[in-house]
Amino acid sequence: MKCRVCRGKAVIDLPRHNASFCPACFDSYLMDQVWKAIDEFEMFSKNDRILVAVSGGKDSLALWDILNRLGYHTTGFHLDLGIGGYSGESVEKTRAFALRHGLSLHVESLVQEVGASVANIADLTNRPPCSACGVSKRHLFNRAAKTLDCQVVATGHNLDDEASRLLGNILHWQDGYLEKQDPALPDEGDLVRKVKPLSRLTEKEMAAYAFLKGIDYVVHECPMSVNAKQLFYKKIMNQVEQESPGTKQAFYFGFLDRRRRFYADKEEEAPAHVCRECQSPSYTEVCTFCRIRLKVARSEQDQDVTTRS
Amino acid sequence: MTDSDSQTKQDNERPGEKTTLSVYNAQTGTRGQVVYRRKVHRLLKDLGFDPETVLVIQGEQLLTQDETLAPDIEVEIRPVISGGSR
Repeated sequence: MKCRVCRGKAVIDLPRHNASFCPACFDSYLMDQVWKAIDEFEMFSKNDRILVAVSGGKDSLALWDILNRLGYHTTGFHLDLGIGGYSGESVEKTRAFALRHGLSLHVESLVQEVGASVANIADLTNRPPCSACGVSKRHLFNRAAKTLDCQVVATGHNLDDEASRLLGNILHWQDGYLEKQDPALPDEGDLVRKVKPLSRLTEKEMAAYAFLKGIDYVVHECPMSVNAKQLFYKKIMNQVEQESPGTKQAFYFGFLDRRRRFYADKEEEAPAHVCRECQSPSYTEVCTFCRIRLKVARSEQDQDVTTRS
Repeated sequence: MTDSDSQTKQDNERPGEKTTLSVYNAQTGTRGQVVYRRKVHRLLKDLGFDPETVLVIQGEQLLTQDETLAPDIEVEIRPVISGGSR
């Protein structure tokens, strides 16, 4: 298979574009896609300081690498989720990447912040692990951005993440989520801007980029996400994509084109409260993150009382 | 012989070639021997992988679907899917 651009030996074929690329031309294609996303959705400028949420996986490390190559000011933020060896490897690979590229990295621990790991939070609060993880990340990313003087939080969500999430939201007509499903969410009060610069690129393209750039990332799947619904939706989307290449991007980009028509008259609703525990913006008197934190603390107190009696 | 039979014969091992291939699944960390297939897409079909969900790597090289596999070098299958309900 030959590269569509230079006719050299191809290393990746992209059926959705009916194209194959050699490493150099693939790099140009991928950088161009990221730049297009940043430009189209006015995600940030060279004057912004960007907090890159880095998990140690292929997408977030590749995103950090790309933004650094494009000359943006970045600070990495890693949240240690306390998931045994998986989290240990994630922290290690993130630190190694930062060191290798001379990048600034800030690491926080969920166990220190909440008093429990993702698995324990899920048990104590009866939430799915991915939900407990998501709530904690959103809260702590925002807090870190403000503390570290960053105007934007960038995450490594890719086209597969967004298309599968869209499928789930449509299947359950989650209007509230559909309204906010956007590669760039503006800042609102104390909530900083959130962007997804990889939303034009597939999971396979990001893995290929990480491999070709020699990025050492965590290949193993998060042990907490084994039965996650999103993986099921991804599987369905990939089956459709195999039969009809290009459907995934048509589905997601088509939604973005039409979304403003569906939700045209709706104003963005800023959180009406300030959490009485942490003073973060909140839709309720106590924010979801603090409710989790307080529930974990109460459960531990109850356990102490039971043990003593 | 039909076209399909002919294609199958091309995809399978040739006389004198190795009949098995070492495969490493990078996500599960497991290794095994499978029936040797000359082409990447045939190997993936045998193993039940959707080509969109894996990278195929042999000898530090990323391979496309039509690439011919070297019989004596271990093939790494690296799944690319990640994520939960985010």
